[in-house]
Amino acid sequence: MEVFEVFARRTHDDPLVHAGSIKAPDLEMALILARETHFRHGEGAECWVVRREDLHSVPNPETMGGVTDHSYRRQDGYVGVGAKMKRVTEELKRLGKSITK
Amino acid sequence: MNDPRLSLLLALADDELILGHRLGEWTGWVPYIEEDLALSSIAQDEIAHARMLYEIASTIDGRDPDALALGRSPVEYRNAVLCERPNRDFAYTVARHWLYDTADDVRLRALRSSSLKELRETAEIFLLEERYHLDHARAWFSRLADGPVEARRRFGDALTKAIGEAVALFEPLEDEAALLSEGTLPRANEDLLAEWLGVVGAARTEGPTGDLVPTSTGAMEETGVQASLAVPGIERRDGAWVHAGGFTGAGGRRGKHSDDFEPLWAEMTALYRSHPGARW
Repeated sequence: MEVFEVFARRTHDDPLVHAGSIKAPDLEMALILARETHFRHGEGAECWVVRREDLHSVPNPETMGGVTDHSYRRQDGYVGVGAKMKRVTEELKRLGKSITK
Repeated sequence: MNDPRLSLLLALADDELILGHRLGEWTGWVPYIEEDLALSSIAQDEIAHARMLYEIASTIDGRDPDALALGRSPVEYRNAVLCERPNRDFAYTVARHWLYDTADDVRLRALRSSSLKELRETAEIFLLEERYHLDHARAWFSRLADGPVEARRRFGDALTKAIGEAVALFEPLEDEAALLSEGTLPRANEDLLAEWLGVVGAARTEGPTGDLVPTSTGAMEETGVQASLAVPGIERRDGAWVHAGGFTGAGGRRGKHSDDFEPLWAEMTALYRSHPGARW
């Protein structure tokens, strides 16, 4: 028996997501059995299977995204920027000043 | 049963219900979980098909679908004897499943031109699900028929046991003449049987040619599906498999069942009989 990974699309427009795994003697049986194991309640519009041995994982996943400080590139500084701008504009108005371009 | 349409509708519905019940007995017992789910799911499909047919029958008969499915006495059931046989082993289950599904495919295709609108529409719906049942049955057929020697031998034995009774899926109905003249049944059962034997014969002659293997006594023995070709009721004539001899009129379509039916009926209807009118 081989192990097959089963993937699904909920509708034809949705991305492929992992639905689970099954055991089957070969690809044809995997295609037949995957639908009853993971789709018998109408969970998806598409069912895909692939041999687990045909899936390859990227080595050293702990270094994915880098190991040094890259926090400068995060977008956190832009949070609430509209409200900040409004507050500054009101403060300047109170002082009788404005920003010119 | 005064209306001829009931003899057809109940034959179809009872086949699905009783075979569905038998397949359901595998739940929890199949050697591995994926096939357990597949057989259980197919069992539910068959029972759902039975329900749709009982609903059509109900509009003619007057009794509600539950009463038709579970409230009749054993002699009132019109399923073929093949459907009520115990599951025996997996080889027999697959052999029966394949014979039944190929036969069901032939009759459902014919029923798409029935004069009874509800039956015509129902046949179209069933064919969508039966396509999967057929894929499943064919996949197992080839794995057992082309499998190791023990698989071939057991599958050959199972086919031999099942095929004679599968022929009786096409036993003429009680009101067949009336059904044909009003078009509810577009083609005679003997005609459907001839078509089905063509399908079965083609599949079986395409299979392995029956290897000769040594037995425990040293003699050579033929195995595989070819060894199961010779059964009473089927003959090879001019290169085609044909039905030989007639029906004795003593089969399931007349309410004549085997000893295997009553225990099945007793279990299937126990709850319905113990709590009349109960709903869930």
